[in-house]
Amino acid sequence: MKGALAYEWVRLTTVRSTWVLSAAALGVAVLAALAFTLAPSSASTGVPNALGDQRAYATVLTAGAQLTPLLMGLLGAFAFGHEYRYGTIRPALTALPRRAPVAAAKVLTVALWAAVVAALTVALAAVVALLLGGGRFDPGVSLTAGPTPRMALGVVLYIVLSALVGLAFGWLFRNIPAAVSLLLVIPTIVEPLLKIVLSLDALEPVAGIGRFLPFTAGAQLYAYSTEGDPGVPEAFRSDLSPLSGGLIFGLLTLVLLAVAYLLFQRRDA
Amino acid sequence: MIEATALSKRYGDTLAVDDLTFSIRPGQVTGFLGPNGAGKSTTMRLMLGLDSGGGRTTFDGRAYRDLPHPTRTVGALLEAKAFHPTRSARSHLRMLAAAEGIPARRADEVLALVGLDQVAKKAPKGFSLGMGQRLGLAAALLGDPEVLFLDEPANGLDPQGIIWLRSFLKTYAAGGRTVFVSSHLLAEMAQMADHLVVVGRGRLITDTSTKHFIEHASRTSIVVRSPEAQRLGPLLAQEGADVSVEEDGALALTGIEQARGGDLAFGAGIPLHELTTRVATLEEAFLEATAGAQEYEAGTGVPS
Repeated sequence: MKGALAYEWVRLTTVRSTWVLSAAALGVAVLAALAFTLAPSSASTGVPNALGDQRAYATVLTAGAQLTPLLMGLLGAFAFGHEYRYGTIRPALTALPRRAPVAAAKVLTVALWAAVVAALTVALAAVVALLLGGGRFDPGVSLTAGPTPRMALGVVLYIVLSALVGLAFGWLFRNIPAAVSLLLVIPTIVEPLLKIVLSLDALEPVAGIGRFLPFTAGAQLYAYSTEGDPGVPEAFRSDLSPLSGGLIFGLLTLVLLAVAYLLFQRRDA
Repeated sequence: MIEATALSKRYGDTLAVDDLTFSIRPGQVTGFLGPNGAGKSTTMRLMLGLDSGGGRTTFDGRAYRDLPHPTRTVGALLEAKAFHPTRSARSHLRMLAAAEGIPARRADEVLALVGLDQVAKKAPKGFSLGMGQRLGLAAALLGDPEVLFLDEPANGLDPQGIIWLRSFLKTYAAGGRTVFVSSHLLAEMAQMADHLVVVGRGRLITDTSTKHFIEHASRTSIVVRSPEAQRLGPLLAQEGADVSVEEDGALALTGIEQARGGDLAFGAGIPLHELTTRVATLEEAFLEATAGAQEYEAGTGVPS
């Protein structure tokens, strides 16, 4: 296992995409935090307390959640994707003939890397909010108030799970374009489309399953409020608790990883 | 000592490797010969446990996956250019070395050994096939292994590179280590290998010393056809010829000049319908052997 971890660490840190994706994640978090923090003040927009409350503050902290899951998903997809794309899987499995430690090392390294990057996005956003937005938030606003700590933790978890979903896609399909397409298309197109379809009158009885779509459910990990808005159509209502949502997304990740692992043990390298 | 026993591999309806059994001894270069598609690469992957299939391979009694130090035991080059295009040659080797705790300076040593030290920090995307092969060879040498397992290592090498590789592998084996190298380049193999394992269509054709294979295969023979072959045969044998009767009744002679054979027949009043010299090169013998295997495989024609 030590050897597999050492291999994986060098693999991850010696490929440019790791640094580009990670830097992009941090950059996006800072830019998003800046955009929120420096948005036109309430005086100019006429909306009172546009930035001021705890909810706005928490939103700034998790702003990185918009793009970081995809970026870390790509990083995950490359863990096996690059090995198969460039034929390094054979030298890798020649040096490490036991496949279980190879798999475990990849999962652990990607999860840890994504966790650190995700935590840094939250920390950087907090710094931006403190330094630049300080005077414009309500006095009571803090990092530890309300659901903010849970949201910060939730967004890290969501990003880690996204990275592992990416890893599983790259592992299952052994094909980077396929993995990347799924990562892009499922959360941004497939799930929203399904929700639109589910909101059709004819599908009213099953509209409620929209909330169980994995990425939608997973996003509840960093939702500010878990009270579904009754004004929203059933299919679009996200009223799962962070725990349930996280479990659904986690279960999907686990199933994908398990299937990929079983195939990995049986397939030719 | 590496022992491969009853290796087999099936892809759909095709039996790519069919009941292959052979052994590889230390102290010599063993060549693994066969035409493209003969199953050489598949066999090598099976032996290293990369592909799953029938049979087993042991390295001094242990399966590859049970070796405590695989990189220090077997160094394998299976594909040229098996590297990420933007990871530097040195980082690529550091990565593989890390798997077994081999220090990073070993990466520099093997890069110098294969002549890539000038490009150690370059991204290998611009490497030629020959440079890719050298990097692959460097990776195989990382653990200073007891066994070298090389699949077509001469592909893409320039003539100097081939000569260097040949002497390197011979020296490696001469030190008591094991070298198993595949190729479809017979002339190259003839100069490098002490022993040959020849396969065609996934089946073993021969497992013999190179010396024996070449002598047996490339010996020039004289073909004589005569309606009185039964009289001619003993006469030629008396003159020191080594006579064998071929399936179609022709006589194949060695150890006698073509003209002398003709004179003898003329002197004895034996009519000749053919008197030709047949030069069998290593390539021809090899192609013949593998074509035979192919026919046998298909099960439609009569083995020649």
